[in-house]
Order: sequence, then structure tokens, then C-alpha cells
Amino acid sequence: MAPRVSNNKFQKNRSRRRAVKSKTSVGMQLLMTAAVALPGLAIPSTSSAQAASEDASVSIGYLDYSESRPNGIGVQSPTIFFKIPLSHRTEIEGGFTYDSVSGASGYNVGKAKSQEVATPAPAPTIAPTTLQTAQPACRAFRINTLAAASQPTPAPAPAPAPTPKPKPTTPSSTPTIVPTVVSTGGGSSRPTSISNLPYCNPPVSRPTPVAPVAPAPSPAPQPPVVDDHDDHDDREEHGDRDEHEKDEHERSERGLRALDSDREVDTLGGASAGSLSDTRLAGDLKITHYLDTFSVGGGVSLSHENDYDSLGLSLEGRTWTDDKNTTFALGLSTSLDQVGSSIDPSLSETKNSQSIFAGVTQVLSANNILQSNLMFTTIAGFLTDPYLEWDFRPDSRQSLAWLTRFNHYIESQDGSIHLDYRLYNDSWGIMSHMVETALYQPLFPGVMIRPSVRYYMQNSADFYQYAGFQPAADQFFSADQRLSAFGGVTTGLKLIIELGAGFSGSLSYDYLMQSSDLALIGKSADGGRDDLNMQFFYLELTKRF
Amino acid sequence: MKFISCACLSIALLLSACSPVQPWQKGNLAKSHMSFEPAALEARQRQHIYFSKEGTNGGYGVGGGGCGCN
Repeated sequence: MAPRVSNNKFQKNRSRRRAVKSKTSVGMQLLMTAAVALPGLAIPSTSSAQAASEDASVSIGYLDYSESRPNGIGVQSPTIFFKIPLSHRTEIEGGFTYDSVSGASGYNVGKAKSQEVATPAPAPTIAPTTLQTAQPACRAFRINTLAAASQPTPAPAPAPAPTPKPKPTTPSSTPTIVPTVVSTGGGSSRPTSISNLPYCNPPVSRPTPVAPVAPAPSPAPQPPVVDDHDDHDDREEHGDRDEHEKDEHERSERGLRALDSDREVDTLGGASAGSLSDTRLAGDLKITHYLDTFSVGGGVSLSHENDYDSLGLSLEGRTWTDDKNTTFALGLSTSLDQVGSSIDPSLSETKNSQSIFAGVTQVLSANNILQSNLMFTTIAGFLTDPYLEWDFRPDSRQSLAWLTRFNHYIESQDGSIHLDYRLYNDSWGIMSHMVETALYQPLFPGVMIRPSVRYYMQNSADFYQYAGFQPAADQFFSADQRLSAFGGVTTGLKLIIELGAGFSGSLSYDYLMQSSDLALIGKSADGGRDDLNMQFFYLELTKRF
Repeated sequence: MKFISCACLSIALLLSACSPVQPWQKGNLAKSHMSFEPAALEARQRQHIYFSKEGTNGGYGVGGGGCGCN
């Protein structure tokens, strides 16, 4: 893309590191820009900027996301982002996003085996004597490991061993299976925090633990026979979803819990409150102050959904070598989240995370630049998905992500090629690989095209199970398909246009395919992922001042 | 640990193997599309999608809001 030519800021000299702009010579301007501040000046936020932006900019974006399947979710997300230099050393940036989610799909919940479980035939991995009739459309039970969870403030429960499948414990500390019946009034007595989770129906029959555990709790207090019709009635109690009953029923048939929320299904925007729509509001603000040899920045972010609130704080420092060929970044962040449920107003749990980030950006040559980042994150608190039937996760997770990015300038084309690779590993046993490449190819002056391909692959979490699996009483399990082994391929095309007068625009289209077949390693033996195709359009307009 | 060692080794090799690039040689690197995030806002939206659709995330930096979508 052609460098932007300033027309009224000749030798404004707001900073000795600033570029001196010239109407007369784009080349000279470019050269000087490069010479005094690299990499990052006059470039939107990167983790390697070494000076405040010289211009203010405002971007307006609009994302339209949809899934290529019946009843898939859709997201419309207008967003705004600004960056304003307050002085030659200080800049402020922030944004605001409004996600509007509609539709629902059950793809997140474990598939396949659930259909079998719904039949009298036992699931293959479960001894027939221990297999109870798993009415799939019902959150039949929840395992309670929080013996002292009736504390006034439900602090994050003591983290279990990272091993997701704990050994059977002694009877005294054995988690109890707590059958709970959903109360539409929300006022039922709920003994502990985790067992407070909503249940769409009483347990059909209490599962017999596979592992040797304490004497099983008494059966459910509600009539044990629950069929689809009952489930249907139960859903009616939750609100006016008549128009969705057919879909709900279909999902029940598949072994998914009948659910009045798209949240179970993972949405971009998050949960919904009793309907097939939801919103998410998110905003953030960051201030960065630049000095000669380093910079410091602090940021705050907030988001709100019907059933999820988040407050994030971050600190970032950067320093660079005298020749500015190497930039080091160090960041710390914390996030204090509140987890709720739109189908159980009494659910109120915390989820806190801390991250440490370290990165280096290195100019390799006149045409090559490389960045490598390590990021360690630890999350503690309520990590179970409150909308999933088959979900009981450890209450802590540690992860390490290593991202390396390489950009090469193609002199003959005045374009560039980007290559990113990320390796990830966490305490839940998931390892993932992500590789992405993009080509920036000028078509005409002021017009650039950017084709891209991204491949992602992960193996399954140690405790991933298909829906309908009957776990031991103290066993972690999740049927969230995002924790299964799968792969995904995204192909995208973006058009970038300089519109003049400080305006630029872009339009992009991406098609994302996810499938268990796309995982090259670590495929789940049971209940892999449903194939899911998604697409998203993104339109953006930027004005620089 | 192996993970970290590998990363550190790579970075060390990276730092030692370069001949210094002079300021006047950086014109190409200064172009906007040579930035690691030429479109910060779009990158943010894109990461948000992957965050909600994949089992893992991270590595791009600190900051950003939480979401109940994962």
C-alpha cells in the first residue's frame, strides 16, 4: 500500500523521534519515518511500537458472523476503535464493541455417542451394570466437590491436581452427587455452589459411580421417569420458546440437554437469557507513555453479558536496543470474571485469570522481521460451562502459548508475506498448533489484496467425553466439543483500499471449517466433533487525522 | 520446561545471528503491511472468534476483555 502522505504537517516536529513528513517526496518521507522509528511508528498497535503514534485515528468496523448449518448462530458486531496521541510521548487507545447474537446450534455438546446412549444399548466403554438410563435431554446430576462450598463468599475452590482425572478419594472426602431439581422460581434450597447449577429435569436415575466411592446418595426427589414430553414441559416453564421447540426437541433427540439458550453452544457474544438472542458489551482503554529507551502502558477492559461480567487490567512495558532493531516486551494482566447463568439466576461464581507475557521483536534484515512471544496464563475458579449437561471441569487451568511471527517484504511486488506459528500446551492436556500465512499483494496504487490461510489443530482434553458418558463420581468430564480433538482451516480474502483524505477501508471474507477429521494427531476415539462451517464478513473504515 | 528452553534457545539464536540493520535500511520494514498487526481492530475481532470457537488461545499480548463465550 502506498504510504500515506501528510499534506499539512510539514516539519511539525512534535517529537524528535517523529518522522518528518514531506509533500514532495514520498520516498524521503518513508525513509525518514523508517530511520527514526522502527518498527511500529505510524502503525496500529503492535507489541513492538517504540513511539507514540503521530496521528489520531478512528476505525469503525462491522462483523457479520454466521454458521453454515440449520439453526446455527449468527453474530452482528459493530465496533469502534480509536487511538489518540495526547502528546508526543503519550497516547491513548480504546474501543467499544457490541455483539448481538442470535440463533442456536448444538455443536458444542458432545455428539454421536449420545444417540446411542439414548437407546437401551450401553455405551461401549461402560460396564452394563453401571450404565443407567441416561436421559440425554436432562441435566440429571452434578458432581459436587466443594465440601465447604457453602461459604458466604465462594472463593475459587482449591485447585485440584492438574491431572484431570483424579484418583478415587476416601469416603470422607468423596464428592457427592447432588441431584437437584430446577426451580423456576429460583428459590429452591441449593446446598452448595457447584450443585447450584440448574437442572432442566430431575435425574432419571442416579448414575452408579464406576470408581469406588462413598455410598451413593439417595435418588432424586422428583419422579424418576422423564421422557421427552416431560422435557418439553420443562422447557415451557422457562419461557416462550414455542417456536423453537422443534429444534429443541431435535437436540434432545441427539442427547443434548434441551436448553433455552444459545450459550450452551458457544457464541461469540456469550450467553443468552432465556431466548435465542444475546448481547455483549465490551470496552477497553489503554494509555501508553513513551520515553527514550522504554515505554510503559496500562489498560483496563470491561465486558458485560447477561450472565457474564469481566474486568480486566493490564500492564505492559517495552524497551529496545539503541539501534532499535530489537524490542523487548513484558506484560502482566489479570481478569476478574463473574460467571452466571441465564437459566439459573442464583448461579454466581468467580473466574480469575492472570497472564504474564514476554516477547521480543527483532529486525533480521532490511526485509525481514520476526517476533516471538511467550504467554503463560493461569485461570482459577468456575471453569465448568454452566450450560452444558455433560460438563464438570477442574477449577484451574494453566497454559503456555508460544507465538512466533515472521514478516518478509517482497521487493519485486511491494508486498509482503506473513507467517505465524503458535504452539500451545495446557494442564488439561490440550496441545494445539496454529499456523497462518497471509500475502499482502498490491493490485493497483492504493489497492491491496490479502489472501490468507490458517490451519489450527488440537488434541482433546484429558477429560473430554462424549455426551452421555457416565463418569465416576469424582471424575472430571466435559462434552464440550471445543475440548475434543479437531482441526480447522480458515481461508480468507481481504481487500484494502486507500480512499484518500486520510480514509482507508477494508472488506474481508473468511470461511472457517472445523472438523474432527482435520486433526492430524490425537483424535478422540469417542464422540468427535461435528463438522461445522462458519463464515464471517468484516468491513472497516479508518480515518486518520 | 522443554517448551520454554526451546523458545529461549530460538530467541537467543535469533538475536545472535543478525547483522545490524541500519536506520536507512528500514524503509521497507516501515510499511504498514509489514507490521505484525496492520489492522488492529480486525485482528481483535478475529481473535475473538477463534477464542470462542477453539479450545486454546493466547500469545498475542495482554489486555482485552473477557467473554462468557468460552
